[in-house]
Amino acid sequence: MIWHLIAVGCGGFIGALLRFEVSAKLNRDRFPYGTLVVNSIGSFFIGWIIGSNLSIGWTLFLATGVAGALTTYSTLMKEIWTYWTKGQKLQAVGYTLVTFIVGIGLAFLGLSL
Amino acid sequence: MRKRLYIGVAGAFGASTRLLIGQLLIVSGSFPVATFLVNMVGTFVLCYIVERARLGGSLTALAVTIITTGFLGAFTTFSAVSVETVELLRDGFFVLAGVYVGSSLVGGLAMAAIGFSFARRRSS
Repeated sequence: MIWHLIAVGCGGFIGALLRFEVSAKLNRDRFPYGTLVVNSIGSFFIGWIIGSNLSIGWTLFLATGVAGALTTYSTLMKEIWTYWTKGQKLQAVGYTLVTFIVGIGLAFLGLSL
Repeated sequence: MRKRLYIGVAGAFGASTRLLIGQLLIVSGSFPVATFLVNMVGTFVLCYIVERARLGGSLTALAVTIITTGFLGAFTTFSAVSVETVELLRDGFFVLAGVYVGSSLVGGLAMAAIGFSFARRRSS
């Protein structure tokens, strides 16, 4: 168990740092491109890793750790809700649809590779 | 540079905590309860902290970034939602896949609304 936590922790360190760098560069626009990019890439990556049937250690490190921490759900919900409460309902719905359709599609693509 | 180190370490704790919750939950059935639960809790806390900070709470900007971008960002996860949905669809659980995405979305937005509203109530 302790090694599993360490594997996920190391992956989480990398994933969170990558997300911070991407968000800092791409979330400056009116649209949260940074969050969309990390969530899309992470969804593809987790599908690819899980589809590759690696050992439990590598899967925990790369899928649960790196991909899990690279992508984020809390910020996504905050961004959608902020759009909605500001009256930008079209952006809220569009951002939601793009994120979920692209994310699920890319996870499917990754799993199928 | 030090800020990056803090965010990375907070991310490591966030991801490990997510794993721990997944391991400690005894779940039967196909619904991904662990991911759902961490995403709901994480969204509530993130929105509460972000709004408290905006209204002039006591946390420094660095502390807010470490907690939100670092810990909560890594604690909650979108990629697991994507891949779990694909796995449910692949295994033929079409309705459950729809319920999972729908409840994650509605639940997450409700948690965001409650988080923002609690923060405003405490500040007023």
